[in-house]
Amino acid sequence: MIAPWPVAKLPAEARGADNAMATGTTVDHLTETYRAHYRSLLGLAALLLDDLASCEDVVQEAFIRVHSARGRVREPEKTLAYLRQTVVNLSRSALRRRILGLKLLSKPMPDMASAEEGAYEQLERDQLIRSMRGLQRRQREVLVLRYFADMTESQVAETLGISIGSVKAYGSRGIAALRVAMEAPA
Amino acid sequence: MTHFFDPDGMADEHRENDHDFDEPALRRLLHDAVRDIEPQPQALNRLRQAIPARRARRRQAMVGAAAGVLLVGTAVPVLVHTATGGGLDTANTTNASASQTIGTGRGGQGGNELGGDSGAAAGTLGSDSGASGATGGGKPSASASDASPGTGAAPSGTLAAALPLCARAQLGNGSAQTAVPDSQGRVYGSFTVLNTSNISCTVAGGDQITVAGEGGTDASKIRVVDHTAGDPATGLPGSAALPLILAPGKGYKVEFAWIPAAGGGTTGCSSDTGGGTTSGGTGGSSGSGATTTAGGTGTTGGSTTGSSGSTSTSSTSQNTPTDAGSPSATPAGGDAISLSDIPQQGGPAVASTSIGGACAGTVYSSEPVAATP
Repeated sequence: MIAPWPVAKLPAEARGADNAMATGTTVDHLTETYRAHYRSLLGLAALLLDDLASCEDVVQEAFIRVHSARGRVREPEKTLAYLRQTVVNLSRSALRRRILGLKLLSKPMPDMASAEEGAYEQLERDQLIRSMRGLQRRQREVLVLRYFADMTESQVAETLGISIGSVKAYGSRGIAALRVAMEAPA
Repeated sequence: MTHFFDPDGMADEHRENDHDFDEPALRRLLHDAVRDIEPQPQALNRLRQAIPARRARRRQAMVGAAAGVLLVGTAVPVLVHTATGGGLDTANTTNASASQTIGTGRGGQGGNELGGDSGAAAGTLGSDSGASGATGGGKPSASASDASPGTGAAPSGTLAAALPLCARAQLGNGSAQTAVPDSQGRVYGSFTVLNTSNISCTVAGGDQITVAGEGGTDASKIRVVDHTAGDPATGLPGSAALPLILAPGKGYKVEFAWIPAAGGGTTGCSSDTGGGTTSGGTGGSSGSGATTTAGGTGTTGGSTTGSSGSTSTSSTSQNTPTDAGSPSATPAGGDAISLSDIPQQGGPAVASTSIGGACAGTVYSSEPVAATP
């Protein structure tokens, strides 16, 4: 008898005519950014997240956020930094939400697993990945940004909002912890 | 794989300081680990569709904000706020360019679209200046600097949100309040949702109210619609100025009204008009001609005697037994609807409440307004 009955409350759609124009102006930049960075951001998300199924969601959301903010698109040289920052932030909140047992993202990509199952499964088995998951979140973030995204220590510090000293500390402790984890019998 | 970091078998005491040695290996391992991940084939197409849609949503939100600012400034009656534009235009153009450096713009109506925006995801550049960030109502302000390499001339005057929309995880501490039913069984109430994070964010509306039947109430007889001027929910506020800015700890309120179906008495299902038959024997036949099951009819009949029953809320309970015309008001036997508020960003309901004695009718909901603590 209890039947939830959601009723979407969408405000009146008022999409102006310049919508089409906006699409036209940014597709080139989008395609360019997509080709250049999408895959590496997917890797970044995969390394940061426990939950591989949401990698693509996180990267999609990051692209949407960064590209729908006109101010960011004006500075193509900063696009990658914005994208990475957003992926880091979203990965954190995705993690946090997962911990809380809540729904991950509102609109998951459909049939995530189908095409990429093989690659993600392989990732699941990767010893490094499993070891990385054992690290503290900060340590993992520092290692991934530093050695996967090839950021400098100060870029990492800025992205994570911590001091350079902390970056160094998390980095060395992370490597030490990783070394122990990797040497432990699988 | 096992001794990857120590291929030369260095002694433990040396390891602490030889990170230079470890780093290339780690770098290679990290890249190898994700080497095989490929984007989904339709990923780019999805982005092509999603980005303009997101922009349109932001723009819409900003038009609302511009209207709100104008409204506050001039104290124009609520319904007039469609015609904005002109008055703000000059200020916006200048502010928008100034704010490109860093979003420190004072609050109020100035642009600061970039600063606030970087706050959205960057978090490092953000300025959280509490600006409502209204830019002109979609007026292009063609400036040469808008053109970026490879993108052509961007139509400026884009309305980017000055602050990020509140993520679902930022919203919480929801509560519900309901008033006692009036003599026609109408129940007004509201959901209050707080920004539980420590950064400001905006709410652009779009909360979803879901309804579920409890007891003998069939949820399919309950409609949920937006409140509009002229509908029966006259006690709800008019259209709101969106987006709302929620400072940490502040909240917004979505008001709703339960209006029983016309001619259905206080529950919406009985032919009785609130007088409260004490026997309940005649209440069984539904006045609206809806075909009801035998069981449903029985409970409906029972509930008419209880007139509108009682309302209960999840947090601030105002469980006053009501007296809506029938002196012998007893709570309806379990018939109720439960309303839940789901924020725009989705996720679990943030607050819910139930309205007793509801059988068929309409729930009207208003746009969010700032909650006054």
